[in-house]
Amino acid sequence: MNQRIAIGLAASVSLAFALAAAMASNVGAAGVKTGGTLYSAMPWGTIPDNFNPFLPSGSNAGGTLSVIYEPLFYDNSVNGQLVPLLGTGYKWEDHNLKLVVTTRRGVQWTDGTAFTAKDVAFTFNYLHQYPVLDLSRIWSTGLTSVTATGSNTVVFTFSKANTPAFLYIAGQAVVPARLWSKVKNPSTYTNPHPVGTGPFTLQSFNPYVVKYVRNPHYWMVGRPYIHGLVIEAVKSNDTSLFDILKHNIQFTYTAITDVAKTFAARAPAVNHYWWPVNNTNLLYMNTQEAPFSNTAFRIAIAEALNTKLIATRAYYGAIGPANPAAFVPAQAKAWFNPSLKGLEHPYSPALAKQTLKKAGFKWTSTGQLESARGNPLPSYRILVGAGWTDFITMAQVVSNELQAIGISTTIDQEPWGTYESSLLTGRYDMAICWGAGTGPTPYYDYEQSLGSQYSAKQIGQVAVSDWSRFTRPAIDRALQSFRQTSNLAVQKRDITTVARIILRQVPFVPLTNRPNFFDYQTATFVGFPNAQNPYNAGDPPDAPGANLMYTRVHLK
Amino acid sequence: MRYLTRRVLVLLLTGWAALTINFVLPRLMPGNPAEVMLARFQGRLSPRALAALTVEFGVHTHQSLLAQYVAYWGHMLTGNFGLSLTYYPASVAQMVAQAFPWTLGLVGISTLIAFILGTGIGIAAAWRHGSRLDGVLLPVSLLLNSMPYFWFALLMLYLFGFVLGWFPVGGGLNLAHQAGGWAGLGAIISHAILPAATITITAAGGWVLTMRNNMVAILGEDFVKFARAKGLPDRVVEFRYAARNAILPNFTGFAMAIGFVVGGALLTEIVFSYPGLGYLLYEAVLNLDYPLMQAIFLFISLAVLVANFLADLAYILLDPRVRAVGRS
Repeated sequence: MNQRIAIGLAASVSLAFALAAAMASNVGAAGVKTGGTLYSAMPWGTIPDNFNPFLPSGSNAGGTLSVIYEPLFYDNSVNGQLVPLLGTGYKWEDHNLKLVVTTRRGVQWTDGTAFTAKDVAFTFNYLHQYPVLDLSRIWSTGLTSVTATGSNTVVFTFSKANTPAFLYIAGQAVVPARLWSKVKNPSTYTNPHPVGTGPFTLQSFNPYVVKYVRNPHYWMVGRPYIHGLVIEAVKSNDTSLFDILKHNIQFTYTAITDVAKTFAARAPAVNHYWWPVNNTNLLYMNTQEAPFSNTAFRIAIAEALNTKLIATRAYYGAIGPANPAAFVPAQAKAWFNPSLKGLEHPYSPALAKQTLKKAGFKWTSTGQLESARGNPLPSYRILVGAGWTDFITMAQVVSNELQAIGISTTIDQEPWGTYESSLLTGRYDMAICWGAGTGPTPYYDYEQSLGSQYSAKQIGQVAVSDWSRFTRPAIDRALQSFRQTSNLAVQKRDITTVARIILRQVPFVPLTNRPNFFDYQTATFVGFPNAQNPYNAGDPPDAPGANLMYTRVHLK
Repeated sequence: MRYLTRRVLVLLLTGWAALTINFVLPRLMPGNPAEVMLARFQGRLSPRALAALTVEFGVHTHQSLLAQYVAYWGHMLTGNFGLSLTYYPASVAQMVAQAFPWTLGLVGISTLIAFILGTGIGIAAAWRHGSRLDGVLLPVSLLLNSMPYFWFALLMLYLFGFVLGWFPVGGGLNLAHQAGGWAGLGAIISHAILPAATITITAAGGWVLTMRNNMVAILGEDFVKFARAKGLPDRVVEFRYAARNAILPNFTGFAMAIGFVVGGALLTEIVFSYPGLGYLLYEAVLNLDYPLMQAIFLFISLAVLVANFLADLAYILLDPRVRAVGRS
């Protein structure tokens, strides 16, 4: 069994007991005030008239996956804690080939019927029946069958050990078998009257505002404290900023420019932001294309970039530069092997030029880099999303710093659709994007962004998440070894192996940390997550983690 | 009658051209909708699932252009616009129907007010041209007309929405508080005032300028002098002689503007988080949502064409010379 997750689970189970105890005292005593409606505004544009939990977030109405449907467990990507929701415990058996999940008793669907392990088994088998719904590719992890062996036990059987797959299973929203077994076309079904187990039920919907009302039969007795939740879709970050500054709303998930000054300082007693880091922003290089296929060239780029300056410019000091092997700060303590330190590439344009010279590159009289044969290098494009100010700022600094060593670049702003498809199909030179995977250990990002099963052989073919199109058998072996073991020492060795290859061969340059952008104000409601009480990861209001916030927030 | 048949023929011909361009343009854009759908699902779709989805969307990129063109005409004529890729699995018709009333209400009414106001002021300024009123109105209209809209709207929002707090800072949040009825209507109006004001103010400047200049030119014509010499009252000369003739080009402009109302006001919608077609179109373009894009473009083209056709008909009433041509 994965030891670290086990510890997290034990801790959160005891936490749940502690909470239950605390709650019991609150109900009688004059502790927590109940009632009130929580408001949020999100720069979503419009809200789809769709409550289908199998669609990716953004294709269903915000809240579907956070207040109506619940997963088995919530994995807190900031502190690695596992919070039991519809599941209460799990264990790996039979050399990690069998996963036994215990489901919660006494849970009701909002139509009054009982939730059982059968619903869980149904949900996973449904994903098998309709692969288009299996967004986490759970059935590609080696899973062979899912069966309910009792009213509150589900057994997942695997053909090969894959302990990290637990996280994808844990996060899948569970639906009632009775209702969904009748749905003919689940990928186009809009589910107008959603029946879930979550803390709220749908009250009303229009394309601009969605309202939820407290589920009185929620399994956490006495929760949620608040009576209603309203999420409004606005069309720009400015509107959500104005709304929270005026205290029209209590929280938003918005990357506010210079957040300390424009937001927090306006009302220091109540305006707060918590931007916990759980991912990394990286400069991807297309390693299937010259000269980015040249390792020395990529190393020179890493040496030429001042990530400290990039982070300051992009986030005004609110977020720091990235670890050169893309370790998230909270995980670095447990996973970063000190021997890696010596492999990092310090910022030094002089060193970068030396690296290029050693690799045979030359410079023209005007300082432009040219190949060994004397052909000046063309201008390379840095792909960013149109209007994404933080990425554009990063690209500008990168562009200036590469110019200093003779590499000229242009910033290519693309709308989301073409940005993402260029990234996936390898039609780019350099690109700024986030890490492909998020999870409680570095494994999840490493596996998604360097696993050969997510790569592609040629430009034009889709590389699902290995956007730099970089693969090494040694990486695949290390990831495979990580998957199959529960031995923490072995897993640490595997992570170090991958990190060492990243540092030596630089498939991408980690630029800055990447946080969740959670902004809130405590004028009327309290109990929001923050650095002192990181019970969730500062998740957006439509992500499963927000569920934990909605059951804790209450009137002041 | 010949005038009318000619107008109808022109309407049909331009309608065909507009719809054909509407078919060709999206297909000249880089990328294809299947790839964008893949991006939406973050690459996690298996090729099999992706193939199933593209068929469901009616995005047959492998079909011949001619076959696509024929199918396109079939769909346009039957009003079957298919499913939106962006708001999948909502239908295009549903998305357009949701946004249309907001756009018509906001942009339609403010365009009408701007036209009436601007033309009226233009008439007054031209009648008194050279006066102090004219001297003030001319540079003010020029300024309003050339001001960057985005900047102006943000400034208004900041001043009247945020600092003074007279109007909501945006969106429909307050709409959600209201049950409906009169209170709901009040909320709708209070949300519309600020965006409507920005559209009206910036658009009116243009109408003032063209109306004033046309009218000044007309006032120099012999028939106006003759009317005055006949001793007709000022009001009759101002409105029935000068303004009636000067308004013709403005009227054509107005017909165009009414057509473009259907396209929504993207910047207004973004600044004030106001519902409408502009943002829908913007999202459609970003996501290579051919079905949604084509439906909105179709409505814009049709609205422009029909508005122009109606303007042509109105010319028959306004301009006796057109009637004379029609009879000959």
